[in-house]
Amino acid sequence: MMVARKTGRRIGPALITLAAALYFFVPLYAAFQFSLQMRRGEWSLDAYRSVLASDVFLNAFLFSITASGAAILCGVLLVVPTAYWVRLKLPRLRPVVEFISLLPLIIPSVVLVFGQIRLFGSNSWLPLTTTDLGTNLLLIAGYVVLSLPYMFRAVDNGMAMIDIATLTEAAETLGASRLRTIVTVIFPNIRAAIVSGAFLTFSICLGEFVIASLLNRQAFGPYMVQLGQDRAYEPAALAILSFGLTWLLMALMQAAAQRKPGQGWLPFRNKAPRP
Amino acid sequence: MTFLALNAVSKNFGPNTVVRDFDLAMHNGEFISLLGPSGCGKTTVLRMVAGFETPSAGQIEIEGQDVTGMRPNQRRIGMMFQSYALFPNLTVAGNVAFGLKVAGLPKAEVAARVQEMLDMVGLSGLGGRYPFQLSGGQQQRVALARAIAPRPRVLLLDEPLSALDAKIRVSLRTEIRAIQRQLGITTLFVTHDQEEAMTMSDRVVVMSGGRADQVGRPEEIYNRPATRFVAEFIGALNLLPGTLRDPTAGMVETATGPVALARPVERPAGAAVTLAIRPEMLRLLAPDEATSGHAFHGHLLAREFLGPIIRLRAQLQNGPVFSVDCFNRDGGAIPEIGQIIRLALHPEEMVLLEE
Amino acid sequence: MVATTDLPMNSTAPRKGRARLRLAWLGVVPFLAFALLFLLAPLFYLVIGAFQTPEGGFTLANMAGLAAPNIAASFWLSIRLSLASAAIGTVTGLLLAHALILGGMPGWMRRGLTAFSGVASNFAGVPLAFAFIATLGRLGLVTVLFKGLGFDLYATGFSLFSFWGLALTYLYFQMPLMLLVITPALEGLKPEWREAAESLGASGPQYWRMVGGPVLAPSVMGCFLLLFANAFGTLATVIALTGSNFSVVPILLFQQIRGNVLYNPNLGYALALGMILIMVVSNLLYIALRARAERWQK
Repeated sequence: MMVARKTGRRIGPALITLAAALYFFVPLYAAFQFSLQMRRGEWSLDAYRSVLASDVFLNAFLFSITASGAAILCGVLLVVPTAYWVRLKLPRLRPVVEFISLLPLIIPSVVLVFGQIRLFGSNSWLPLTTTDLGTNLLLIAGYVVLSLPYMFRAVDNGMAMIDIATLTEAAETLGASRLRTIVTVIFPNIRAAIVSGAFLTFSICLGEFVIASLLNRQAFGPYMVQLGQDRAYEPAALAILSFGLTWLLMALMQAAAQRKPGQGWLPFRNKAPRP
Repeated sequence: MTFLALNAVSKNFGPNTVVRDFDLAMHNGEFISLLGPSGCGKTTVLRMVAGFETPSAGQIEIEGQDVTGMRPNQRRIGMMFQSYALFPNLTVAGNVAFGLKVAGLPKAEVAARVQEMLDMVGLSGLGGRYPFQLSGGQQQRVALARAIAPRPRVLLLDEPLSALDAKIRVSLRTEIRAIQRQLGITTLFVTHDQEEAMTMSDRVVVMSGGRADQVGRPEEIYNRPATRFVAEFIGALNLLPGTLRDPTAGMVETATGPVALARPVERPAGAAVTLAIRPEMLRLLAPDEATSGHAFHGHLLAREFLGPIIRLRAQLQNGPVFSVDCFNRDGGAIPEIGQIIRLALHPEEMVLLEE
Repeated sequence: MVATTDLPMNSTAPRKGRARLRLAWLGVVPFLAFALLFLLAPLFYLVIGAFQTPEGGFTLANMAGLAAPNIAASFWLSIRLSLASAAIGTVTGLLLAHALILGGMPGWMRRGLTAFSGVASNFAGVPLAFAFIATLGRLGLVTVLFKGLGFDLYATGFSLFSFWGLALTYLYFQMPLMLLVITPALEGLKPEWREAAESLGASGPQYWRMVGGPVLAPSVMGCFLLLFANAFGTLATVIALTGSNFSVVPILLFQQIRGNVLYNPNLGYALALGMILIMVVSNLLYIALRARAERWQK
């Protein structure tokens, strides 16, 4: 309302917005254009074909998807019961759990994985890095740690929004057991929060480089770096694909976070009438 | 001598006209309330006087000076907001000093004026506190001190009491009015609370749909509402629809029988009219008591005890249900529910509302 | 009834309650065990190791080793790069947020750029480096475009694979992050403050100097530190852009773990501890400033 009076002042903000939009757009466009130039003298999707047809790509990508999926599963199983229990029974412990959960934001992943490699190295008490399975487990553990801040915050915010203590009491006065309460009351109400945390975890872990590389895993992140050293056009195609994937994941996360009870998962199949 | 004038002011937001053809002339030192339901345009009028909105048409004058296009910081006005709007990074003293510093007053003078203002609002010892350390009432006092410190020409109050507890609301409104009188500062006050408007104001402007329905002293507004909206918005009201039978004698035919207004009405015979009667104007008659005025017949439906007042609900014979207010001390004389009652009324206390 | 049950209730209730509480602790054991095993113990291991000789004796030599010219230079480079990237990100992000939130840009533009920022702040790492190589590399779109206009970017001494090239690349996730984290603070600036200041005679610059600026300052400082920490830990983008040639501290540690250089694990521990300390200091400052910012928001 204030602004309508001062139309002249909108030029500055408009210029800033335009400059920022340009800065955001140009690298994407450059990568896109570059990715189309593999065949001399004409536009083509050869770079994308070359990437997608490669077995190395497929294996690395599948490996990363599996690792991220496993990390999500472990993260949810670890965070949801803990967050629920702390809110319900041990509120005094909340700052401690919160601090631990946010710690990975402070500690660079290279430091973290260094410690893990040394602690679980070949001549340690629990030599995880000596076997393939052990190393994979360590990778998943590393990803769970990495995504802990995001998962915990998403789930904890979700629980804060529904006041789980009162809901639990309400369910118990109606005769529900603790397990039934969690399964039929708490979980459906924080499902959106969990899904949103899961997508975030996925987008962080899928292209993760440092941990995977230091554990010598043939994952998507190390594959991309290798490709960047060997090829010219394929990396640009990968950048575009990654950006598209990140955007898709964020869109799904938004949709999950904003979904109302009774609303369908797809925007055009709403069961609940809009207010 | 008109001090603040709004001449045919209108305001559109896109296709919506929020204020239309609004006129107001305020005398120096006058306290006027803009009263109305939310969305009636009262806040927009205030914000146009402040300069935060520019009128789409019309003109605003302060002391004969056209300020319509003037920027807010040139107008020399003081303003209080519903949300206090104290600067959170400044102490109480810093907040009060803000306008004085901006005006470039010497330091010693600033300090003296701040002290004077804090004394005036009764917060002498709290100059060093930060806003978040104060209660709502205290914060609004600081806001008052801050608004009047630079000696503004006009004080604008945008629902300053709405966010406060009931008790503090009452004490602070008395205080604001006292300080306003003491300084003789011309004040425009926006509220949706009729009690505030009635108790504080020299004159009240009742607004609806972007227009001023009525401008008048609180008694006039209450006793002689000019429109049906004013009558219904302010206070409780009983409405009795009817048909005008005899304009010269003021005879109205209603469902519960003929009613004599005992004064001529300037409407044609057969016109549809509505009689408006305040609940406290009706008097419960004792069984054998005679009355010189009009008497309604009916029976008692319900009684509510409100403390000083007992509110009765009376079913009129063949007519609507009326509210009747009796004093608590008459409680013993109030009949049982279901009993036949008679309600007396002086004809001049009936207001005739035109459709 | 009440009298008879009163006594036994009083004597058993506390004991039962304490037992319940002890059992309640079991609920967080999995989480705490996991955190201990994969987060706290590894860090503890590094911290201890930083003060040990390879044989296990106590020493300060590792920490003193951080002062060696090449390592000190790495730390200094990391700190400068992170400061520069955080400063640019803070200023540009703040300008953008101000333009979008207070500058009266249309809603769709604001929603669009905020959504994009959510994506871009997560679009770090390797693909980002690729996009920038396609933009500002020797054959990048912008480089070639400038050359066509008669301006040789690389002749000015600029390189995407140098300090400022990296800073510019970091900006792609720093500016969006700044936009996202400063938005609540900017939205917390009540329009009434501005109006109150104006009604008291203040101009726009006076309002920003006396009210808006001081209210925002703690949040902005906090966000700056967050961006600093964010840049300091960045590794994948650097590797994808420069291989291992640009020796910021994370790269140094990365190579140390790979066994490419130094080959003294205990010096590696010291390196890690150095990074942790810098992060801890910047985050403590962040927490302190955030607490101050929140005090005003109450």
